[in-house]
Order: sequence, then structure tokens, then C-alpha cells
Amino acid sequence: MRIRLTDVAISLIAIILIVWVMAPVYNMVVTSLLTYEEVWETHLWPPNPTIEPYIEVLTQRYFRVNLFWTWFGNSIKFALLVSLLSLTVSVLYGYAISNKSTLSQKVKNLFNTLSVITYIFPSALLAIPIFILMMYYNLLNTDIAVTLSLSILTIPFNSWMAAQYFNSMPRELKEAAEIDGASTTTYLFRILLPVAAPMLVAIFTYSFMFTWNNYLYPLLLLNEDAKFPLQIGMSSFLAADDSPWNIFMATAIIYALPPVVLYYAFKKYMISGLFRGAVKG
Amino acid sequence: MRIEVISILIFCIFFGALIVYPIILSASLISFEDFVSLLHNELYVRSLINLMIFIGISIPIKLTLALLISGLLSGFSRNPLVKVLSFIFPLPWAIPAMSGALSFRWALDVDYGAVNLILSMIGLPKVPWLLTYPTAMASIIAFHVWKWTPLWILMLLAARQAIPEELYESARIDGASTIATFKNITFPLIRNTFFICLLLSTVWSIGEFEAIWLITLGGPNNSTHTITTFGVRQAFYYGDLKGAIASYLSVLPYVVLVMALILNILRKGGE
Repeated sequence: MRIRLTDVAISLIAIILIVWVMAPVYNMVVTSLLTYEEVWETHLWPPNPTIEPYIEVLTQRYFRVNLFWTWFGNSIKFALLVSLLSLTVSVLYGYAISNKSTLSQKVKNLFNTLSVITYIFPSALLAIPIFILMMYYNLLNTDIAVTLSLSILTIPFNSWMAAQYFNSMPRELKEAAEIDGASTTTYLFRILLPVAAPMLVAIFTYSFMFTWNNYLYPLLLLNEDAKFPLQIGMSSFLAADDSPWNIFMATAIIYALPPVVLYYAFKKYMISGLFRGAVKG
Repeated sequence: MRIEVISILIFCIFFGALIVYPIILSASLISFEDFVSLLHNELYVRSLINLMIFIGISIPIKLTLALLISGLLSGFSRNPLVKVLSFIFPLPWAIPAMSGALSFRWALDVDYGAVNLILSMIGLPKVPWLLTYPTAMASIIAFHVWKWTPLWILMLLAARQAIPEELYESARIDGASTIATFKNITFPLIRNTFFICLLLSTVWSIGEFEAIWLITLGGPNNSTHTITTFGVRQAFYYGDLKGAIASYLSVLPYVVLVMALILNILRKGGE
């Protein structure tokens, strides 16, 4: 009997938590399936579900999303550019740092500490210094500014993660490659990277999600409609007077889908890469 | 050998050009007077107080919830509802702040929002959530807790799952209570991770921007700004770049202090 009671209590708590997590998502989904008139009648359930709001967004008929596909494309472009740049720099760094003969242990520790410090540092506090830097070099309102600044925000953690991963690989792998006469490049690209695929996926997913979701940096660095990623284009929703919330919510769902799908698709790698590693310190 | 040297050099160039140099550059733009004039700026003082309120309320909530929920997820994983929860709980973290914040704003709408609709259904008066200072702060904190608790659950869950199952089995055989098991086995083993989470969430909450900007935009009447949104407002809407830099530099000592504590724990853990 005692076990039953615990079960009931646990189930109740779980239900409350599920409602708390899902309520904002539910609110988005329900509202996105309403007609404009129904938005103002307050429904807990769509009486006649319609996909009209989604069509308004995807065909760019509603004036606040008249550049929807341009913005969506920009979001993809930034996310891919940042992920690839960050991946390249951090994998090369991780490889060099994990190589026993390259640097003394003291220098390696210094680099590790630097990466951790930069990762911990709140990225919003770097926003204005980076804005000033881009202003000095006349790079405001360019793709380069956004790509470089978001890359440097992901590189420290990715580098640290790559170094940890390469460090945990057996040394026999390298010795065997050397005996077979493989060059450094062959060893890195043909042997090490295929083995490190889970780590590469984790870094890529993390950087993609980080860039896709980041709001502050593109907000500060870009000022031309056609260069905005989706989230900055959506800013006009926040000050809208006409407020067709069904269209806003449809856009919000379309915008949220890529990172959510990526997370669930690569959850296994994300969790082992990001959280196990982070926990180990 | 060559590829290693080039790799390290690339890393150093990125690090120097995009982190060290911008900080030096912006620090060189301001003088002592800029800090003095900050202290005369009522909005700055207000932002600093708001930041303390924001941190003081949201961090205990986030970490207590994360500690309890990670325990629920690891200890009762056979319960079907807990299984559902463990699948969906990371959603708020994966959903971009812009989408989540739009949903919160619509739910908190005075006349048509879901929250007031539910309140009026159970006979309570409607609340102007985003139009008064205390309710606006509460809304910001609610969104922040919703969005960021999953991250700390994931961290603590990973730490809990690293604890060998045998320890719990022997505790069960000894007839230890749930509280005693937590106090004597679980907490000592996840203590390092817990304190790292606590300190990390402190530093990152100082840098929270989206929750304030997207939920209230600092309103009503500029009453809910914190340092990050104050800086952005000064720099980009009032052209006061110096004030913005000075305000960010003014919280830097706290950030550095907390970061030093984190590094200290990491170093101890590594030994």
C-alpha cells in the first residue's frame, strides 16, 4: 500500500511538471491553428483547426514576414558558417593540444584554463566590446561580423571538448599509424576524425543550435532587413499593434523546429559530449 | 609537427583578435568620470538592484528544481509519466528564446492571454502581468526559470547517473531512508557538480539578456532593466557607448570572483 501511495504522488508531481514544461508550447500550437477572429475569443482548443496562419507565413503574404524566406536562409547560412568555422578551429586545436610532443604541460594547462574562462564568461558582456571592434574595422552590418563573433563564442568550449576527447583516445592508435608510415595529415583525417565522429556531431549540433538561437549578437551587428536572420526579423512582432497572434505563433513554431529536431536527432551525442564532459570537469 | 603549430596559432589569433583586443579597445575608451556619472544615473542604480533581485530569486528556484527533478528522473525512471517527463523536459532549452518569449507574452496578455483566462475561469481577477513592476519582474523570472532549468537538470542528471548503482543497493539493504540516502550518498558525490552549476548559473544570469529584452523590453517605464539590457539601451538607443562599457565593467569584478571560484573547484576536482 505504501508503494502505491508513492507512485500516485510521483505521478502527480510528474503531471504538474509536464504541464509546466508544455504549457507555453501548447499555447503556441493552439494559437497557431486559429483564425484571426478566433484569436480574440480565447480558446483552450482550436474549434476549427486551420493551417492558414502557416500558409500566410510560408507564402510571405503577411507584411511583417514579407522576407520570411530570406531570413530563414540567412539563419541557415549563419548557423552553417559558424558551425563549420568553429568545428575546424576547435578540432585542429584539440588535436594539437592532445599531441604529447607539441607543447609542455604547463602551456597546455594555460590554454585549457583560457578556454574554460572564455566559455564561462557571460557572452552578453562581450557584445559591446565586439560591437566596437566591428565598428573600428568597418564590419558592421556584414555577414563576417556575425559569423566571426558567434564563432568565437562557441570556439572555447568546442576546443576544450575536442581536446578532452582526443586526450581520452588510446595512444596505440597513433603508434600503429606511425608504424604503417602514415603522415600526420593522413593520421588526422583518415584515422582520428572518423573515430571521433560522435564528438564532431556534438560540436556541430551545439554550434548550430547556439547560432540559430542567439538573439543579441545579430541584433547589435546587423541593421539591414535583408541581412537579418529569422529571429531578428521577428522582432517587429514584439511592438506590433495589429497583433495577429496566430501568425506570430506559426512563425515561432517554424523558427523553433530546426533546433528542436537537431537536439532530438543527436541527443545521444549532445548529452555525452556536453554534459558528461562538463561534469567531469 | 607543422600542422600542430599552425592549429595553435589559428586558435591564438581568434582568441586575441576577438576576445582580448575588443576588451582592451573598449576599456581604453572610457575614463574614471564615466563610472562617476553612472552612479548619478538613476536607471543604472535601478538596473543593478533589479539584477540582484533577478539573481537572488531565480537561482534558488532553478537549482532547487533541478536538484529535485533530476532526482525524480533518475530515481523513478520506471514510472510511465516520469518517462514522458524525461523525454520532454529539455524542450524549453532547445526552443529558441524568441519563440518561447513570444508564447509567454501572448499567454500574459491582459485581455486575451491564457493565464488571465484561466484565472477568470476560477473566479480570480485579471492581472496586468507586463504592466506593473512586480508582476513584470515575476514574468521575466518565470520565463528565465522555464527556459534554463533544463540545462541544470541535464548537468545534475549526468552527475547522478555516474554514481554506481551498488551504493544505493547497499543503502537499501541497510534500510536507509530516502533523506539519509540523499544526504550520505547522493549529495556528497554530486556536490562538486552542484556547486559548479550554482556558480555557472550565477555568472550566466548576470549576462541574461533575452529574458528581459524579449518579455518586457525593460518596461513598464524602464523599471525592469538589468545591467545587460541597460548597456544595450544606452549604447544603441541613446548613443552612450561609454556609459554602456562602464556599466558592463562595473559588474566585471563579481563575474571574475565567481569565475575564480569555479576554476578553483575544477582544479580541486581534477586532482
